[in-house]
Amino acid sequence: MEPVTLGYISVGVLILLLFSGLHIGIVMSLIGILGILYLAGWDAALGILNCVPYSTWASFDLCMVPLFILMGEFCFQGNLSKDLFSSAYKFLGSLKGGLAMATIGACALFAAVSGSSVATAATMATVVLPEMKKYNYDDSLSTGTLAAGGTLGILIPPSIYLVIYGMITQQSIGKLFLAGFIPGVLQALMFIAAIAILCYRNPRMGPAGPAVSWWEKIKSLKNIWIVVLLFLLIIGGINLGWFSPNEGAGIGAMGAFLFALARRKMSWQAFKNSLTETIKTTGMVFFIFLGAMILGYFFAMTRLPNELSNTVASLHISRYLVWAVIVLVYLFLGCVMDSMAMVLLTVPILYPLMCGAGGLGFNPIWFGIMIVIVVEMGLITPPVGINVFVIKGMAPDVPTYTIFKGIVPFLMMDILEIIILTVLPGIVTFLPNILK
Amino acid sequence: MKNPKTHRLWSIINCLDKVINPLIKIATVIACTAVTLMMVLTFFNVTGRMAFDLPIKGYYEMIELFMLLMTVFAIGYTASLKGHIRVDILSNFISSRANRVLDIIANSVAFVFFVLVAWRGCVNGLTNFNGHLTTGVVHIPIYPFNFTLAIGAALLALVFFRDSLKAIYEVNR
Repeated sequence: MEPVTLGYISVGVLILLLFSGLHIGIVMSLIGILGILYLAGWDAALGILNCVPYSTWASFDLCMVPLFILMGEFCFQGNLSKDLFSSAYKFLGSLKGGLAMATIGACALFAAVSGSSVATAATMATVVLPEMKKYNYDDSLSTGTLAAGGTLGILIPPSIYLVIYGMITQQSIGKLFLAGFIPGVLQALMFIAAIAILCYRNPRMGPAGPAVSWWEKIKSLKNIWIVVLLFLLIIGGINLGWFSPNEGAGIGAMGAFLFALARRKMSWQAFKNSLTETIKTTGMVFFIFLGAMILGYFFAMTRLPNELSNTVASLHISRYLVWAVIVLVYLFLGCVMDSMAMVLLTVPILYPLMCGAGGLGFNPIWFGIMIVIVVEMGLITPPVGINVFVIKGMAPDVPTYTIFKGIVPFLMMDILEIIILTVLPGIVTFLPNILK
Repeated sequence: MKNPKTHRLWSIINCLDKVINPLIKIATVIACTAVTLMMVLTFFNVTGRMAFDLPIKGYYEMIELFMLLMTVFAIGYTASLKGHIRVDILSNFISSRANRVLDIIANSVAFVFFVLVAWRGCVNGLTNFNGHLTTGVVHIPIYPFNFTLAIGAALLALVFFRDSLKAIYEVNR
């Protein structure tokens, strides 16, 4: 059998096994090992088992993943979410739907110190849900806002997904972080616009809160200094060449730890919780990572990504049509698969097609940001939108259907943003280009 | 009346729990310590380099070794919490018994895979021990970390083996 044929068959088997309920990391490893065994024999397969687990798990380049997760956990323990929400609420609370808008604002700010979507949604939900209940906010608006707001966590840098995309595609993490900034802010503004439209059409969904003086608003800004400091330190430090992204993650984690300590929020229990949550997420990521690495070797042997790229290029169809199909595939995958696994599984195959030599000529940095936006949608689409279940866990009296209903306007904004960034890719590449 | 077969199975699962749970606790402590040390080491490496032009010697390789300690045991910890991701969409449409059968398959496959990883870790450890392989700058021997990987993978295999037995028990109950 031709290697590339085996590659195509293995993609089918992979999908079948994924849906059978096996662990994603194991399915990827298994397909990879068996494929290599078939193509290159027992010695090559054992060789992969000899070197890949060690090189993946002892990777210096990947140390920023646990460190960025740790930074977000320390910020969570430092009770930062409450302060961020309080500042955002002072500015937006007096508008119709102001609480929901402030939630998006606070999520965007929290996202600047956390690379995790779930952490952003969970941390905000504890603060915001009681407030929304108090002001009689519509359940679908409040829970939908929180679930969607959480997704900002993986677009606004630092982002674990951008780190992983950068690792797979060998793109500069610093540039990816810079590129994520404007789309992240744009997305937050579009979410706020969605809330404004909803509350304009039905003011009972989000009643306006009391007005606050400008002096109060300005005073509230003191709460967000740590976010600005950490964000500028990490993004600035990386792009000015003061330190590498790995070191930036370590500095950020230490900064967040010292901040929580200074606020007397870092008890021994809080410290332990931060660490155990970090290793839990890290364990989950690196298990899939191992599978992705082994599968990557197998796909490289089959030349499947290159063949796919050549086949699509030879069809002479518009590259935007291909991109639209990819978005649809991601939307479908997002409904049934975990987002992290989706990135690790698909990027190695699609990257050569979209950005490789002889491919469709898309900008690699742009593609990374677009992948993250599309994957974000997977976090809130039924039936496996993880953010929805996080919010559901915190608002058990709200039916899951109501949460999904509340998410629809934000999903529409996500699609609109994808269209805008496809038509105007310069929005993504502007910042990385000026700091080249 | 108790089925003697399932009763025996439950005793084995209990025994495994008694072995695995303390090991997972130790693994968790090692992983948490490693990630803390990574943070501290990185902080002092950057500040030392920027303030005094004195980076930590061997920083790069120490981070790699801490990464290994953290990830290999973190994966075990996540497995003990059943935190590894599976696409469970099919489970909504099949019977509870069929779900348990899928659990048996999923955990058994994972068990076999990590037994293989543990085996290769041991082989690598022995090779590196005999070859006196060390890291490049501060000359830390590599073989203890190969064996650590093997131990972590063996622990993972044990967790998946116990989960397979639990699923078999559920099917036969």
